[in-house]
Amino acid sequence: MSVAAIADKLTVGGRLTRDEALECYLQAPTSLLGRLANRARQVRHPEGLVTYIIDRNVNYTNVCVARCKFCAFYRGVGSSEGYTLGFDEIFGKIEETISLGGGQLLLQGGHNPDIPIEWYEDLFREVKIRYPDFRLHALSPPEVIHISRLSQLPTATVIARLIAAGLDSVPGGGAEILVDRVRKELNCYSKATAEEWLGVMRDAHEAGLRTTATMMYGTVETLEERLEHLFRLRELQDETGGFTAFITWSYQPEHTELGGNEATGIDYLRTLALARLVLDNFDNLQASWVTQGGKVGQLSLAYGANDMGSVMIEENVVRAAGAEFCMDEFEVVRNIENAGFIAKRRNMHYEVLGDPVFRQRNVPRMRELAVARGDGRGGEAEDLRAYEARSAAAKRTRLGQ
Amino acid sequence: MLNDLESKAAGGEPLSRLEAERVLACPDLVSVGSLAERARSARHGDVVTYVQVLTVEGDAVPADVGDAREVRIAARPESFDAAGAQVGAVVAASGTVPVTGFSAADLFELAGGDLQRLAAGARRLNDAGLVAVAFLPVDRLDAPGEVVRALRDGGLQVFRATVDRAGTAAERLDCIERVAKLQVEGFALRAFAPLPRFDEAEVPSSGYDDVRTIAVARLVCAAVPSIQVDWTLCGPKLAQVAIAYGADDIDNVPAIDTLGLGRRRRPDEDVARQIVAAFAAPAARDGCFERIP
Repeated sequence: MSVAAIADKLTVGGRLTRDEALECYLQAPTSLLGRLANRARQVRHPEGLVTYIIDRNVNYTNVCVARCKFCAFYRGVGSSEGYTLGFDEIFGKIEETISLGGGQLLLQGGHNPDIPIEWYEDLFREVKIRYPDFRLHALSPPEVIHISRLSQLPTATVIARLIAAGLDSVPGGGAEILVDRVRKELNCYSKATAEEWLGVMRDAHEAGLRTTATMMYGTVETLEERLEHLFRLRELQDETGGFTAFITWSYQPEHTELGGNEATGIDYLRTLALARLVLDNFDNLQASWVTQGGKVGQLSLAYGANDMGSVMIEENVVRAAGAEFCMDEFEVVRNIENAGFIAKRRNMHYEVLGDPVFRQRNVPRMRELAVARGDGRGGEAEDLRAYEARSAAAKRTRLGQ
Repeated sequence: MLNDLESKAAGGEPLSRLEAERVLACPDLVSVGSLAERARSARHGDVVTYVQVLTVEGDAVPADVGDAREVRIAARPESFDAAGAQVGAVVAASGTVPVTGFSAADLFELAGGDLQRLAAGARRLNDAGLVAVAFLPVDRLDAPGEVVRALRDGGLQVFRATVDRAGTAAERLDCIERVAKLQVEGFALRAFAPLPRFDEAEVPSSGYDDVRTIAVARLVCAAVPSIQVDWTLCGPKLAQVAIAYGADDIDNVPAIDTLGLGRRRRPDEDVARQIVAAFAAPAARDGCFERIP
């Protein structure tokens, strides 16, 4: 089918097939892709709102046994640069987030063999006791799988226990490209196969949680594989309807084992637009200004995105790979309004919470993102000593040897 | 929404102020880009040029010009004597690479606003080896045409117009119109870089602002061959996206590989990759706008 015929099909509400999506990516001018994606966004969001959330990406540990080739954030077990935050450090971050108008942590971390499920349960319970309205958007599918393996429990049971402790929703991290050939080449197959990642999301949706979905493109995948990822998400969404949003970003190569080039700005806008067209059952697409920069991030709103993502008070993972963009709420709102949209705060369920916080009260400007530990210290917090360790290094530390 | 302007864009006919204001206010950004891209393609086909520039700050003299095709002195001189001395030293260090430098507005101020003194100063700089003035900030000059004429009388080329500061859309459009007018008056500029070189720290321009400015510059300055975007100033991503909004020349690609992009690619490889990924054909040029085979 020609691109023109595909465009006509989309205009009348038709659904893209794999072949048609590939034809679009290969042949359609960027302007046509943008126009089609923008129309699809308008149909889904005719009110002209662009939303954002105030939250904080807290990476509770950088110790990880997965060793993905594209990751610049992780440290091996026993590394002097490895850290695990303590409960008090996390509570401090929550309080700072609340003071800036935020109501959620995006809590993710490495696959640390020395953090048992009880640590997460205790943390979540304590958060809910101290901050009852605060939301925990926590533990991507590979982390759930990691906890499942450590605890010898099915992923559905892990999710049920975490929900009981206070888990509110699951972030879509660790999806990378949901094709096992790619995952094997990136050395992330063992942390979660494509089917395992989708399986955790299915479990979460069946348990009543809403989740997001992501895609990190621009490593070793072919265009067909990038599209396969989108179609697998679309199929699961048809089945469960549990995804609230899709977020894509380009691989950030700096300081990684894989190295190589970062995908270009136009590739990002085309990929985003195509995602809007393929993922016709997703309500929300986020702009990834953290990886693309504020300006191309804002341009995303013309290529299918309807959400500016997070006023991210803290971020550690993509920063480790070279992306250091920062936008506070003032900047996020300014960019939304400058693009001709109405800016509204939302929660993880994409329910509108209201107008910008800085228009209601004084909020300090934020010029740079916070980091996991301001002083860059490694080491695990004292409170971890109450939990059983798996690695020899952590056992020695916790025994005080 | 902008369909009625397509034939003008494709035919190389400049937009009027009213039409340009419509484009600037158009909420359908993709259509704005589409229009400007049409104008770019009509003029340049799929070719996008780029130049590697070594920028010399202050009174420095480069020890190595790397892969530079232009050495650009970006300093505000204290006197024509001092400027001439620096040009001489930079030219000696640059070999056959064209040396450009200074802002026409700074030189005009240095000449006390006197066009004859400006021409004399330009002559001294040209004698020292300066090929062209690097910046012609149309926002800072009341009569940019007279300044260009004086500089050319002194032997210096003025290849391109630039903008120092223009915060609002109206200010940016004013600058664009001034450049269009200069060109209609026969000043034969080779390029126009419409994005301000200096942004407001508190309220920087947005991506929408920047690509709209590029697009409107392409559509209004139909007689100016090239619309430039600064690789270093904008960053590779926005510079690349600007191609889809009418830019056809990428200025200020670093001449020296600082390994900032890693060991796997050099700046010229990266800019070529970005241009190809924007569905265009890269072509290197030098500081005199001559293509490099």
